[in-house]
Amino acid sequence: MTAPESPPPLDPVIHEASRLAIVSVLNECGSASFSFVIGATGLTRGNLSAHASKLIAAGYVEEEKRIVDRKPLTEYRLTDAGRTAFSHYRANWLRLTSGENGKAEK
Amino acid sequence: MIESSSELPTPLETRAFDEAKRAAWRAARMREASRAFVTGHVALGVCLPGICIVLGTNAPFVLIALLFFVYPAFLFWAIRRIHRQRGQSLVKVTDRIEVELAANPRNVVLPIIAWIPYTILCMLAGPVLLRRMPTSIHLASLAIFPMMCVGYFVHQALRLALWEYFLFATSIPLAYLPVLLQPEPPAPQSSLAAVLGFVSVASMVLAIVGAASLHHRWEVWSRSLDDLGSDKEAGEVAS
Repeated sequence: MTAPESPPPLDPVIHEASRLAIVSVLNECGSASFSFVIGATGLTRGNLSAHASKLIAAGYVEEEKRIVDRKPLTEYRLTDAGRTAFSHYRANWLRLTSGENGKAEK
Repeated sequence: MIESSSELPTPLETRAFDEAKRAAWRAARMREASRAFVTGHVALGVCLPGICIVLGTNAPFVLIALLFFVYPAFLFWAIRRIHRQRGQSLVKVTDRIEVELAANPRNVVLPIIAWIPYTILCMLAGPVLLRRMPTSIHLASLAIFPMMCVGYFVHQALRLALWEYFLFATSIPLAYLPVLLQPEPPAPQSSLAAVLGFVSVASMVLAIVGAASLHHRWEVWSRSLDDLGSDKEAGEVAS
C-alpha cells in the first residue's frame, strides 16, 4: 500500500484574498493601470498599493510609473514568474477542492 | 487524497477564490470593451467578402472601392482613437497579445498581409467561381473562416455576458445570407437584388452598433473610475 499523497501547497503570497484578486485580474490582461485594477477588484487604493508592493517584492508583478497629462499613472503587469505561480496555484487549488468533493461523496 | 480537514480550503478561502474569479471576469469584460472598435472592425472585416460578393454582382464597382477604402480608413481612425483615449485616461488596460506583439511586431503585420489578399480574392473570384464550381463546395470553402469567427463571438458573448458579441456573431451570417439564399446572382436592377443588397449591408450596421455600444460601456466605466475619489471603492462601477 502506498503512502497517501500530501496535499499540494498553496503559494502563500497569492493565497491572500486581495492578492489573489489582483493576480487574477492581471492574469486577464497584458498590463493594467492602478484605476483599472481598482475597478475590477473593488479594493481601496491603500489596500491595492500595499498588496501590490508585496507581489512586486515576490517578483510576481512589475510596476511602471509614468506621468501622463501631468497626472501620475501606475501600470502593473504580471511577470512570467507570476503567471507560472498563478497557474500552479489554480491547479493546486483545483486538486485540493476535487479532493474535498471526493471526501464529501464518501 | 486529502487526509485532514484542516488542509481543505475554508469557506472563507473558497469565497475569496470565487471573488477573485469574479474580479477576473469583470477585468475580461472591461478589457473587451476597451478594444470595442477593433473587435467591431474584425466583425466588419469578416463580413466584407460576403458584402462584396453580393454588391459586386449588383452594384457599381465604385461601391466596392468605397468599402475597401472606407473600411481601412475607419480602421485607422479607430486605432488612433483608442491610442488617444488611452493617452488621456488613467484607466488603461492592454491585452496579453498586445504585450507579446509589441515585443514581436512581425506577428501583427503578417496576419494583416494575409487577410488583404484573401478578401480581394474572395471579391474577385467569388462571382467567377460561383459559375464554374459546384455551389456546395464554393459555399463550404467560403464559410470556414466566417463560421470560426461566429463561434468565437458566440463563445465570448456567453462567457462575458456581453450582448454586443451576439450582434457581431449575427452580422456575419447576415452578410453571407444573400449568397446562400441566392447562389445565382439576380438581375442587377431587380427588386430582389436590392433586398439582398440591403440585407447584406444591414450586417455592417449590426457590427457598427455592436462596436458603438461596447465602446460606450468602456467610456462609462473608465469615466467612473477616473472620477473615483481616493477613499471610494470602485467595485460597484465594474459590476
